[in-house]
Amino acid sequence: MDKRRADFTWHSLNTLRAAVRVIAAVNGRPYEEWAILWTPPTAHTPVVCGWILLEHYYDHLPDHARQKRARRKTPYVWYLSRIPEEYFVVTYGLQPYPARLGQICIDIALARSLGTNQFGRLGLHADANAPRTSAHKLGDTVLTDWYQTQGMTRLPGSARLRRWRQLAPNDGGYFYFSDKPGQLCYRQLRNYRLDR
Amino acid sequence: MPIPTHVLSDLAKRFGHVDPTDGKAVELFFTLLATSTDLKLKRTIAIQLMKRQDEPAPPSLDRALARTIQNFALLQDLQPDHYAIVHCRNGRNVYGLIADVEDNALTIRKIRIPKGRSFTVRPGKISPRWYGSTTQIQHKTIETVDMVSPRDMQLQLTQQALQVRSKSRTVTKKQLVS
Repeated sequence: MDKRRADFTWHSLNTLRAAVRVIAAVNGRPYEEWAILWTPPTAHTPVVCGWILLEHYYDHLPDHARQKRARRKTPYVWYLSRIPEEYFVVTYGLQPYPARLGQICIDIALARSLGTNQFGRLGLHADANAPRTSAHKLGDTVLTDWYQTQGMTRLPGSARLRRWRQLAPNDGGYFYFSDKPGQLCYRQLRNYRLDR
Repeated sequence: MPIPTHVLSDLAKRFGHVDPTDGKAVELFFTLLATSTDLKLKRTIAIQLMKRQDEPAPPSLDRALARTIQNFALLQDLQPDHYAIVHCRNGRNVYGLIADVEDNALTIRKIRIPKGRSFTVRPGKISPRWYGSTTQIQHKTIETVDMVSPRDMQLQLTQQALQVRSKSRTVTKKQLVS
């Protein structure tokens, strides 16, 4: 498995969790981690199929150029990944690989956004090392295409981002859900939810 | 996705003196740090983590056979009595006169660097401030060469380079004063 892939961190997720805890503690913002658990019929213990690490009350990505008071708040996703297929099949010996895990992760993040009065807003950065799309358009990867399919908006590469204790430079890889698209995406995923 | 694994390893090495290749040790460092009460250290590391989000991964350490042959050819081009800068993977530099070039090693000053993973010789001109006078410097373009060295060798080299540098600066200052 390519070490540069985002889900390679699956093998060292505890390190990343601790690192995000450090960042959240220093920033003084609440931090949450969520996992998708599934118990296969052949096992007694659940398997972690997806993982989300997010920090609440970051500045909403398109609002960075605004005055501080005018910036809306959003959860910022530090890590969102489904279990790598190689790991699922080889380590656990399970098949077939479950579908829609990525969408479940997005759904959880949106649910937390709505549950913490952030109105369905969400921000994240697509991993730059993800495989390129077949069209091989400049800067486009499988992940960026997928986020756009889910209804996320790409932050223009020219948009200004506040750097101090916030985010890495804008390389055109930032995606966000504003209020309405976020709520719409959450509604579209309602059919898969038990508490609809 | 924004914090790559190599950044975590690098910070654990820098602040916790932990072997960056040991995943468990890196994990332990961050786990202890998360529960630590040392706010200053936490803040420093958190700022580093945020600064280095999504930093591109360094090139793989795996070496192909073709590269080895290329290294061999490049080493043949290097000549004694020329200066070279060796960029170490830990971000430090070893620089000085090439004393000897063997088939599979390069000796800079008294430091012998066997061919392999840890070092890269890159094209470079030695900055005059390192050696006092430009007349001492012979310009030599050196192609990229990868060199092998065990980890302790790498650390030793860095320390020696730093010592030599500080000593040469002290001597220059004394000369200026006298």
